[in-house]
Amino acid sequence: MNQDTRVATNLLTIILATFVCMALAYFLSSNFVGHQLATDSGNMSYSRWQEKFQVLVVIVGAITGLCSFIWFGLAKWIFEINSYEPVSRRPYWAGLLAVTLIVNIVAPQIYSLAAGIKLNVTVTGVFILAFTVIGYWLLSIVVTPPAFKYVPLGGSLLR
Amino acid sequence: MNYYFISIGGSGAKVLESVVHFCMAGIMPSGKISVFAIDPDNTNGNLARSGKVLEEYRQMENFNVGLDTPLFSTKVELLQPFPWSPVSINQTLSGLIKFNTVTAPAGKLYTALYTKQERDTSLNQGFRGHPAIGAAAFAQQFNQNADWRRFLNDITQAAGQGQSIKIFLAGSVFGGTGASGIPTIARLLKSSIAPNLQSNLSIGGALILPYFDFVENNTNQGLFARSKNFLMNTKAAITYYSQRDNVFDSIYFIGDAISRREEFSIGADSQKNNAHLVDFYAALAAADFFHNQNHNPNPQTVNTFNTIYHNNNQTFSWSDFPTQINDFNFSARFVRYARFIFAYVYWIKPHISGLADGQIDAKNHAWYSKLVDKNNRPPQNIKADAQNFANYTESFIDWLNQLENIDNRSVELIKPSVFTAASEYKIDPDDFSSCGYTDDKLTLGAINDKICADGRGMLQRVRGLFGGTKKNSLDFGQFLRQLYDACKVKN
Repeated sequence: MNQDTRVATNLLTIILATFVCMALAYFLSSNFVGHQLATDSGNMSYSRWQEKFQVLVVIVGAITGLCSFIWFGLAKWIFEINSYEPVSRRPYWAGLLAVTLIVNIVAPQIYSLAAGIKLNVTVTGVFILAFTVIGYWLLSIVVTPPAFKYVPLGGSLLR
Repeated sequence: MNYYFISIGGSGAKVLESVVHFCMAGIMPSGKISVFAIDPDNTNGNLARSGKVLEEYRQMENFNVGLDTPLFSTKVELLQPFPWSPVSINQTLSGLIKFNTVTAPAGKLYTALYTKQERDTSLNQGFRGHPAIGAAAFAQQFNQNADWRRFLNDITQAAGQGQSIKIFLAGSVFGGTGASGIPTIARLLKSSIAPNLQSNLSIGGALILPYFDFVENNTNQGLFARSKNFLMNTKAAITYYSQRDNVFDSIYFIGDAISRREEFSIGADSQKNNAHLVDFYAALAAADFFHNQNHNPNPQTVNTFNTIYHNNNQTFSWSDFPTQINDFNFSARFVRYARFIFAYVYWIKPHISGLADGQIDAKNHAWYSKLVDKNNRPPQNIKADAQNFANYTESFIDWLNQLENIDNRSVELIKPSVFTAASEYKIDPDDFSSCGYTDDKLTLGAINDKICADGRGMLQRVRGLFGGTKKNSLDFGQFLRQLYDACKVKN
C-alpha cells in the first residue's frame, strides 16, 4: 500500500467510524431513554423527539469527526521530524480529547434548551462513550500515522 | 569466488578506507573480501584510520541485517597480521639482507647500488620514497615469511580446488612502498599458482599517480621522500608497466592535478592525509574489477587502454562517476546509504541512549518499541550496539567531509550542510530531503513514518484493539535494515 492509499484509507476510516458512532449514539439513546424523554418533553411524539435528537447527534458527531480529522492532519502533515526536538505531542491529542468531552457534555444542555426537548445524564453518558471514547480515542489509536502511534493514551498497549 | 584486497603503503591504506565504506554500502560484490595490508611503517596514520574503520565494521559483525539487502552485504575478513611488515623494528636494509654475511662481489655490487644512507637508515617509517630499498626488502622477505606463505597457501589451495580468485592491489607508483611492492607482490602471487591453474586467478591493481606534493623540511638531513622525485618515479613506473608487465589482468591508473600541498612527514602517525577523490576512484576501480567477469583473457598478447579523464578539475558531481556498476545505479545506492547514515545520526542516535535509560519518553519515538524485547533484552545491549554503529557513522562523516573538501574545489556528492550540522543534530529539512544532489527526495519524517510502521493493515489494527497478536521485537541489525529499507526513495 503506498503513502497516498494509506492516507485515503485513514481518512475514509475516520468518516465511516464517525457515521457508525452517530448511529450508535442515536440508536442507544433512542431505544433506552427516547420514549421516556419524549414524554418528558411536554408529551412530544417519539418520532418528533427523534427528529430533533437526530440533529443533535449529527452536530456532536460532526464536531467529534472534525477533531479526529484535525488530530490526523496534525500527525500526518504538521508535526515534523527534522531535528533533535524532545517535544511531546500528547498535549495536542489530549486537548482535542477535551474538546470532544466538553462538546458531549455542553452541547446537549444547550441544544435541549434551544430545541425544547428533554435530555438526561444517560444521553450524555452514551455520547461520551460513542463519540469521545470510540469516535475519538479508540479511532485515534487506529488511524494515527505510525510515527505518532503511541501518542494517544493506550496506543502502546494496542499497536 | 574469492576476493582479496591488498593495500600497499600509505596510499593503499587510504584506498582501503574507501573500500571498507563501499563494502558497508553494498557497492562491492556480496560475499566476503579478505583484506591484507602491507606496510613497513605500521604506525602510519593513514593505516591507523583504515584500521579504525575496519575495527568498527568488525564490531558490527553480529548485526543481523539479512541476506537479501545491499546493506553490509560484503563481509570483510582481516588477514593477520595487520599490517604485515616486511621489516622488523629498527631494521636497516643492510640488516635485512644480512650484509655482513654477503660475499665480496655481491657486497661490492650492493654498496654500488645503494648509498650508505639507504643502507643504514632504519626502515621503521617505511622505505621513505625510495622504491629501490622496498624492492630489495620485498624480494628478500616474502618467500621466507610465515604469514605471507600462509596467505599464498590459502590462494594456491583455493585455485587447486577450482575456485576463482580475484586479487586487487592498491598503492602509489611514486612513493616507496607501493612503487616497489605492487609489481613485486603481483609477480610473486602469479608465480605461486601452477601454470595450469592460472586461469583461476585474476590480478587487478589501482596504481595511484602523484596528486599532491609537500615542502621538504630543510632541517631534516635524513633519508626521506622528496616530492620533486614523484614525477620521475611515476614515469619509470609507467614505462615498466607498459613494457614489462604481463601479470595484471586489469590495471587502473588514477591521478589528479597536483593541487594539494600536504604537510611534510617522514612517516609514522604524522603521515595522516585526508581522504581524496583519488582514493574514491581507486575503490571504484576495485569494485569494477571485482564485479567484472570479463577480464583480458590473454594479457600477454592483448593490451587495451581505456582512458577516462575529467576536463574540468574544479568541479565533481555524480556525472563524473560510473552510472551503473554491475546491476545497480551507483549514485542511487550511495546516496541511499548516506541518507541511511544521516537518518540514524539525526533521528536515532540523539535519542536511543536516553530511551534505553528511560530518560526520554518512548511515546514520541514509536520506532524504539521495535527494539524493546519481550524477553527483556537488557537496555545495555541496545546501547552497546548503538554506540558501535554511532562510532562508525562518525568515521563515515569524517571521510565524506574530507572527500568533499579538496583544495577549494566543488565536490557535489552529498550536500555538505547535511554533515557539517551533524554534531548539533540540526538539519535543514530540504537539505536532508535532497541530500544527494539527485532527483531522489525523501524527508526525515517520511523515513520515520516507515520505520515506525508495523506493517499491519487497518483491519489488523482494529483487531489489535481486541487483543490481536503483537509483533516480535527486532534485534539492532534488523532495525538498521528497516531504517535502510525506509531510505529507499521508491517503494
